[in-house]
Amino acid sequence: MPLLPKIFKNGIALQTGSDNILNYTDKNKLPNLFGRTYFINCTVIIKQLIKKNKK
Amino acid sequence: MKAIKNNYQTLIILFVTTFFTNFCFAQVKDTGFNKLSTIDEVVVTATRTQKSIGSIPVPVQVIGKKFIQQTGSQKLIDILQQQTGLVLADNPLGQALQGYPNPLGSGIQLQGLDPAYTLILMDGEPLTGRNAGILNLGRIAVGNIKQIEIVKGPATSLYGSDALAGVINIITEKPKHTLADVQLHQSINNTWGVTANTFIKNKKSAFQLFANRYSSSGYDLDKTIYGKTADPYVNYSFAAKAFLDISNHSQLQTSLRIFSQKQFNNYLVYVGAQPAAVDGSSNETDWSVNNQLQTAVSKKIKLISRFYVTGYKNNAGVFLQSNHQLFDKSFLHQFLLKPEVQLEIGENANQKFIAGAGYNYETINANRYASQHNFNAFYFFAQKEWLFNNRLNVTAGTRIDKHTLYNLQFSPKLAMAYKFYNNLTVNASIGTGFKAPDFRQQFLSFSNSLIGYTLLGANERSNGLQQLKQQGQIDNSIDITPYLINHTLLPEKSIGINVGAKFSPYKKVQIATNLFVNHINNLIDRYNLPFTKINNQAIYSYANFNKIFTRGFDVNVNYQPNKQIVISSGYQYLEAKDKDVLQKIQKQELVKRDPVTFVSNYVSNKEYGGLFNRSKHSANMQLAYSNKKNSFSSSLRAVYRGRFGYTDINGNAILDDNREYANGYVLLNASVTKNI
Repeated sequence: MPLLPKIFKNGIALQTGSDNILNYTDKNKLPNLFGRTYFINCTVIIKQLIKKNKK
Repeated sequence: MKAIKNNYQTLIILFVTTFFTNFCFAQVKDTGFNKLSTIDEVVVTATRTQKSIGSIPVPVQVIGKKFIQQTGSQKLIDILQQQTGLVLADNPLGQALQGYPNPLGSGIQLQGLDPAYTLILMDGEPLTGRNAGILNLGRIAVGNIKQIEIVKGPATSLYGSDALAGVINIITEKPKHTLADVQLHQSINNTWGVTANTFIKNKKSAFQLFANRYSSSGYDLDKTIYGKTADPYVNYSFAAKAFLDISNHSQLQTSLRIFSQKQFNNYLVYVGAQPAAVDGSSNETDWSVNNQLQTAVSKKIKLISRFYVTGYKNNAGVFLQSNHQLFDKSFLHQFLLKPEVQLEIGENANQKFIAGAGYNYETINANRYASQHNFNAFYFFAQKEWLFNNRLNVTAGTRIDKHTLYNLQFSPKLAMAYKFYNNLTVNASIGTGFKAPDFRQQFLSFSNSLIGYTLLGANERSNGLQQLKQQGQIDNSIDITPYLINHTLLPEKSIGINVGAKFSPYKKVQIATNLFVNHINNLIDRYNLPFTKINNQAIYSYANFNKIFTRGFDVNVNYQPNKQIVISSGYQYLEAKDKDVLQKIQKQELVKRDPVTFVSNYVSNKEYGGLFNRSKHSANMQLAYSNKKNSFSSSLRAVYRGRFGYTDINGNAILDDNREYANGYVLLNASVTKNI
């Protein structure tokens, strides 16, 4: 069996966005809807890559 | 100062958004788009076996991880309401508290039926802790979800009570590689989320650990009302999963899930006629352990044993700010134990026979009920699939339920799919379902301290009214005698028909459509007693109403002009009406009285808008762009909800006046993602 060297690859995903861009609200009938929001997500991914040794 | 801080935060986010939009035209491996499911996508919910979506004879929608990631959303409810035919609906009981979020929560309305009629599963097992029939979907963190399967139409023949409108099954990830990821989320209202996810994959085993912390400072839509519209909260989710290949033929899967949330409450109540501020907290805990052993007895026979245990606790208490005395305290504790065995016979995915049996032991205890109650239920289900000429798939199934609270229930279902051409499949299904009267509808005895209304289960109406009278909460001039007889609620029964087609006129275009009709008999619903308490708040109870129906159709169109762009849209037309009301209108027995002019008229068919909280028209549109070369993707998503009945203003308790509607609205969401 060939050895399976473990290689770790890092990756970063940056995401930004806005929900309810039109800022629709109805404080009496839709109090769960709180208007325009913005968000940022930053994700760091560490993934193990497995490479088979060529014979 | 707070406003300046918020604006500052907003500016930073806007700057980052603009920066990425203009300068970072790059990609992302995922197009991250919720296009119509491809026919080889595997789902498990519709038939309880692994099956490609193209050969399933019932309407199924799948939300993939890519779409979840691309929305950037941290809440399951936000993701669900962007799907065709899934509408976010408030519990009408909590709408009386205008200016505050519905204390009884919001859930997903499916095919025009209330959230209580949709079964919510996590990895195939039911979630507990419904409040007034609604499960708080805010409890579900989305960071470890692989896909969400939505089966539309009755699924009682496989899943039992509560699956009248359909089933939403949240499937969590199974480790395929060894990897770890950490995500930081920041949004307005001082909202922070941190998620950590680890997968470890070995030759014969795999493990997953997931943790999430999410907090928000709440928000305030109306400064004239004391307290915030939504109070601050913090919650924690933790999940661990292990897969172990015991032998070449057996695999053990075990998982643990824990959720805990604390909300910090501060609002105004009335002590007598005097307003008083209270503060306190509500603590919610939800946990489950799910064990599953799959054994391949032979090439054709598979045995699946499941052992599921779950518990839910909600404890809340608020104290008067003036003297720190306890003002109100409540709790709800629920426990479910559910062992089950399922046998699968057959090699071909479209010709399998499955049969299973299980037992439910459930306990519920709450301050709103007199004591703890225990329930027992046994069930058996069986389903057979046939495939004729490689074109016609027929699936027939049934389930038998015996529960402490109701008689033996028999729920059959028949579904067919016929492949006319490779690009055209037509499917049809008919199924029956039932929903047992729940404990709340029978035995609840509850007065809301914040709003002031009282809600009495059908079996508690007599006792509750006498107590209110003795306490002086009902005026002495009101005669309650005609309401001192309790009545027994019957299970709700339904029959649902779905007819649909999947059509691909061109390689780049996919169209899926479905017509649906649901008839429900003996519907249990809340009604107002014809008098109020001295605080002018209503007294509600439950009764079997005769019949309602929901009918309509939905259409999904997906167009992918090239590898980078996907355009998708969906539309649902819905009619949901009470058959009794229609009869009364025909007989000219329903009158409305204008609250301004005091003019009375008979209600006409044209004026009757159907059941409250249903939108006749709802739609969504999604545009996704991805560029692999530059590691960039973006999406623009619009959700439209047409006007819907909100409240009665002319005293006849039906929707028949334009002023009784809430306006329709559009939610427009956008996101951009850059991989570095």
